[in-house]
Amino acid sequence: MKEFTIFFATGARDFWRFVLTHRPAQGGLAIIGLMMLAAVFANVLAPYGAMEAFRDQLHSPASSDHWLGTDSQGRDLYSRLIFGARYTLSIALAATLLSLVAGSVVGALAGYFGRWVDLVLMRLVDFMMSFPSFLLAVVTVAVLGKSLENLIWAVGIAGAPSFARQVRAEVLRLRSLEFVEAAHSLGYSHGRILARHIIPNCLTPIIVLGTLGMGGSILSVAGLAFLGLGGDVFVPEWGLMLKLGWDQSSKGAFQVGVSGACILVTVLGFNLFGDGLRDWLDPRSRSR
Amino acid sequence: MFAHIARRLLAAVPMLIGISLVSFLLLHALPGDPAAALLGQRATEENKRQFREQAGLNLPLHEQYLRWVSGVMRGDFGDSHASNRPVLKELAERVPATIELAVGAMLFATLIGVSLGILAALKPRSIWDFVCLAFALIGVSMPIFWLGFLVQKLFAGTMKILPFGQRLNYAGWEGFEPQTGFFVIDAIFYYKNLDLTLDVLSHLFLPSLVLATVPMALIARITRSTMLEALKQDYIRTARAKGAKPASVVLKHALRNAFIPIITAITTQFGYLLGGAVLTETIFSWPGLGRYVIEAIEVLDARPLQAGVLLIASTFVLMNLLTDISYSFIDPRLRKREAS
Repeated sequence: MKEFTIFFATGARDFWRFVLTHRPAQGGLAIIGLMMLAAVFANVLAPYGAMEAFRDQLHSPASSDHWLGTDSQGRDLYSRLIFGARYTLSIALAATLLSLVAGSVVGALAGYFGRWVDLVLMRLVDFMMSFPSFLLAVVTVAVLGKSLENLIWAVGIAGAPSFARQVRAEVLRLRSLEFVEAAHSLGYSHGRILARHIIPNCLTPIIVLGTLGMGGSILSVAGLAFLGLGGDVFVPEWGLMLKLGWDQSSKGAFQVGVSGACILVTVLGFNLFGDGLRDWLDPRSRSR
Repeated sequence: MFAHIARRLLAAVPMLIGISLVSFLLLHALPGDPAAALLGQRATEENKRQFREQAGLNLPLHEQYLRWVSGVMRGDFGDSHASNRPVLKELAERVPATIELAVGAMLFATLIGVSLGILAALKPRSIWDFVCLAFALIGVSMPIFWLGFLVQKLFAGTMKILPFGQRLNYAGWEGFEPQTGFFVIDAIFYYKNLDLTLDVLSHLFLPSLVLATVPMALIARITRSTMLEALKQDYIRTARAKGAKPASVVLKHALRNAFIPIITAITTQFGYLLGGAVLTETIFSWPGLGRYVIEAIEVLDARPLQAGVLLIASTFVLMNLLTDISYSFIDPRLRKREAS
């Protein structure tokens, strides 16, 4: 585990110094931090429960009791948005981790072993990329059935190929470096070289890709939920809340407005921060 | 160059076969009984048993696949159980709607995106540059179904200057019979009616603008960065020193050399458009292909779903193929490299 500790210790200090000079990354970090706080401390921060319905106050406007008013079931919109951060972020995080792990394994194996392993795996990746990724996710949900868990699988699978490609490129670069050659000549096994020499060196690009991928995952999950592929409509996930508001046309307009704004701001946060991370990793990209 | 094109074409063939396999297998992968996915969920056991025999669902999979593919080749996509109509007929209505929307979006995305990118590259750190960067960032972070709702609310609801959803004010044009299915073309060339054309265009405006958001942002960003790079080159300085007109330096010397990444961005975004169309079509009740796929999933209607997936994915592959081939036309250096 030593490689990982060193990576995080030196990387984190260096990165922090970079953040102090990079305005957009600061903004992104602030947004992500706020949303994370909301997600983790939703129970404390939200004045009411996500499912707590006030039957006598349907569609009530903003007031001191209900800061953003209530929805069609009389549930407090502000509280639901806060709990929404928890659901939305964890679903997107699970989906991103799934693409990240699946994509990295495939990409690392293809890049490291080359030859027929590379050929077979990359043809598979090319093939998956011949579907527009959102369509791939839609079809996956159709096959698995409509539910939030299946949304995670769908978005995760649809996102994996692009991770695989980029991790493969990184592994290809590392494979030809001297320290890997040295490890080979010491007679280390492939597993050990991959796990202790190659993967730790790929971690930084993988983390950047993951951060940028979070924004995409949030959008895809919300989009699929909006299309009615999310199953349970009472879960306070932002895409589902947007759909609920949209179904009630003008009465739900405010709900559509605020839940969409939450999605936009959060995705913006991840993209700002991800761009910052990329600039840090590759200073040449900074002018781009 | 022909060798290059031939090689690309050959590489696309296994992709298309794979796509047809996946589309075919959807019938069996959908939750529940394939016979029900073809007949409708309310079909009786007796009906389903008879149907399995008749439709060849008892045959081995590869024979079923060949039957389906040979049908598709002849334009027979089967029938939709939800509407009881041949899928081909429905596609003839749906596909032009989506193409019209995608072309409209691509026009917006390319025109606005490329212009904004050039403006930003010409004056780095100016207000245009800031607008371009901010726009590129917000554009890719935008949930377009939300944006669609907002602009519709604003322009159709509050300001009442644009219509709500649909492709045409059907009530106002009772005798309208689509000829090609492309309403813009029908209105201009068949009906030759200016008011009708304007009505069709006003319905097309908001959906294509909303669908254009994400590609526009990416195109602006790529144009900006490649133009910045191109403008730094020596040949630009030479052209300027020779006294070439500023506009010609930018458009002929720089833009032409920045073209490949921009073209790639434009065409790869086409695939995004086909996916994003699902959301835009839903918001604007636009009867296109994306909506067709979602409606088929809602009622587990296998044949329309298969046809929709097959069409969208093959279009995507073909677009990527065209991009590849177009490189050798744009950049003579690539042509030579291929030849040698």
